[in-house]
Amino acid sequence: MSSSTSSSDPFRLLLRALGFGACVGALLLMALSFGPNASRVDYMGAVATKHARLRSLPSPKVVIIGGSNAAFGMDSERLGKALCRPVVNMSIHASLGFKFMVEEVKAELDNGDLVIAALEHSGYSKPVKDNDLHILTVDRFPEALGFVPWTTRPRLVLGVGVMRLQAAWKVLSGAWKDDSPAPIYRASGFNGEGDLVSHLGLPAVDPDAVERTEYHEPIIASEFWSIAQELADSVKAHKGELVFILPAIARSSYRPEVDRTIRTALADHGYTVLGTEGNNVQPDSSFHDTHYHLRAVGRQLRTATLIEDLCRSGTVQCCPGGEGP
Amino acid sequence: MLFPSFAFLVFLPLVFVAYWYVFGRSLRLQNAFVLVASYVFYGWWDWRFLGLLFASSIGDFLLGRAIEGASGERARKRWLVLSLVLNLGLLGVFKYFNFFMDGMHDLLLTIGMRPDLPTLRLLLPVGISFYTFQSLSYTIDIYRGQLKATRDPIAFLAFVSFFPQLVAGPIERATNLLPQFLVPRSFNKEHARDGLRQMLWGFFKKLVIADTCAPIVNGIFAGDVSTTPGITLFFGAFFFAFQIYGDFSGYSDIAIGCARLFGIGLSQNFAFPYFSRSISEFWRRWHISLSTWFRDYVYMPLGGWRTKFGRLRNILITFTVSGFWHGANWTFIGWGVVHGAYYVPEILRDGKARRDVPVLRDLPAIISTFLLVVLAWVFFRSSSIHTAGAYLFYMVRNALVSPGALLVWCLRAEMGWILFVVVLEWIARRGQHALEVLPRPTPLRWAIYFALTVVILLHIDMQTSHEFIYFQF
Repeated sequence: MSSSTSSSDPFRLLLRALGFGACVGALLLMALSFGPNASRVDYMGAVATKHARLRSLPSPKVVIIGGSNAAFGMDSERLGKALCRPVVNMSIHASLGFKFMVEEVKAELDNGDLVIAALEHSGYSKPVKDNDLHILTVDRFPEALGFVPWTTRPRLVLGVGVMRLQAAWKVLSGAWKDDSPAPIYRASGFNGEGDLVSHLGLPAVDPDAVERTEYHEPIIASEFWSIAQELADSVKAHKGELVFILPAIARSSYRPEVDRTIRTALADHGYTVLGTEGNNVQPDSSFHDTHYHLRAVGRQLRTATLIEDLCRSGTVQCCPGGEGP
Repeated sequence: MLFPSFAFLVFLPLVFVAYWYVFGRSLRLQNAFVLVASYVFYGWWDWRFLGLLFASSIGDFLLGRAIEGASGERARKRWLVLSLVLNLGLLGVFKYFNFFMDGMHDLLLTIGMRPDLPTLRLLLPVGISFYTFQSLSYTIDIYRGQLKATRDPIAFLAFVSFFPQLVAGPIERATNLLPQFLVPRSFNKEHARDGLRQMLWGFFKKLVIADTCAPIVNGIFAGDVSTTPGITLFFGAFFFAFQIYGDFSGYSDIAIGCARLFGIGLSQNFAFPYFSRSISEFWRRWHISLSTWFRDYVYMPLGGWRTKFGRLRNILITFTVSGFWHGANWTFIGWGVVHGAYYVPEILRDGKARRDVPVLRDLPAIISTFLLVVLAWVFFRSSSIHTAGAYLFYMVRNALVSPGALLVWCLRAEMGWILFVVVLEWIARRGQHALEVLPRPTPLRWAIYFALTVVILLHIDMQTSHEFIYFQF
């Protein structure tokens, strides 16, 4: 080695640095083991209850995957009655990404299950995501580590440790005392089927404060197709059905050319896309805090449309005498 | 790859071990390894631009040889011009093409034409302004006879792409860095230890100062300035001054510290610039590698710097170009021009930048220089010259003096950490970085390192990417 000092010097320095890192690691481990949850908002904790339901339901069942558009905008009980099957709505947040959503459900699918993929537009344009939401999910439901690539897992565990350490400091310093979580975004805001219901009946939000939909390029990322294929293969292996529906969206955020591109591309790849052009669009007043989050009336309208589309398409057998066309 | 990322946390020890233990026996292998590691580091961000980095570097390697081998002055100049065209051409295409097209478009509109000019939708390759300037200094120095062209392409490619300073400097001169790749490196225990200390301080400035100031600054600059109190607008600029300092000097500290682990010495890029007593001193302390680059390759060649008028003209030209280097926007040019204008009184009274260490009785000069710098940052941070002007106008008009609001701003937690950095750096102002001055008893020193690390952990925002501001340049 071209060194003017002892050949063990770099190694000694590395050992010291690792020793220091181990002390920091021990602190994080303590935070991980004994610290409070990373966030006072326990919304992502609902993933645990959704998984418990997913595992316990007999097949054939209906599994809805997607982001918050499907969490806010679906009446799974009504859907289940119309299809004579139990329903679990796994949807919670678009920022988890389509890949994560597929990993969540694919091992739990069984004979004859119907999977409804209700992705937001970002689910097509950026299907693989890597952000703090995964940390918050793992914080509440450690099994979620299994839904991300192994290369990401150490970083997520470290992230949970760091966020729990920060949470412990906030508790000790009283920073959380006056900070009350939003009433809608909580794990107890979901019903037994996995639909978010805490926003139902709340007064309308000031239209200027409602978040508009952002679109990204490309409309469909190339990696979307391999993930969709992975899901389709899992469904097919159990003789089930996979359908896509476009997200409910407010009229002022609606971009028909984007939806048309998605609809055509999915159909060209052999996937079933329910509904007709524009039937996912509702007036702005039907939405709560974002142009994806339906309020009570819009939610019922969307569920009715979905039931009608499902029964009409022949994808599944609808209940005799139940809702349908 | 970002320094504050899990990937770098894994990357650095692996590269360190391989560098000293696997490839340490052969200089060529070690350089080749640095090259591969640097390309992995850069490609982690976007591998598509590796080709551009390689082409730019290898182009200058060949042109350096051509300049040295050319028989006459005309031939030497021709090769140098080709190098300038290559490097500035890359910058022009990737960074300035749309700016010039927009300018041309507006000009043609004003004379009544209806132009339909092309625009390019190109991603700006990260660090392009840094590595092209570094590479360019090589060919210019060979042309000037200050450097011999290297015959070792691997060493040259490693010099251009050396990962700690590749994307945001310091912009190293070939005369300083390249020779270090041509001789066997030795591991210096003290340098390496101090390198780790400097990295820790860099992370502290980035994650505790810059990243916590950023949301405050973003909120104020995004708001309606006409209805914002002047004191709030002032603190928007004040916090930006510390955001950009923490961000950029933090990056430099991490880069310099990291390089020292590999037995490589990079030049000091920041020398406690907010303790400057004049603007000329500020520019001897802020982004030193860029300031000296412009001094040596733009200001001096302009000539005429021995007369007041010549100095005035050259300073204004150099600062305008320096502003433009930062980005294709009139705001950066405005920022450069403002700094050039700040120089005018100093030139008129033949002022010289002081080189002695600032002391407490210099405080009035330090504060007044700092305030001038803060006002200039408004141009740097604003989205347009117009909004910068409005920002400064309403800062003065909308109740700038408000003792109650001042107290509220001063009691913010972020202000406490800024004060901490200022005090520690003041104590350490004779050295290279703040952690050089820690007390000798080892347990106490380690306790301070641990405490700083815990503070960093408590401030890391897991929701945002910790990109550095200067990556966009």
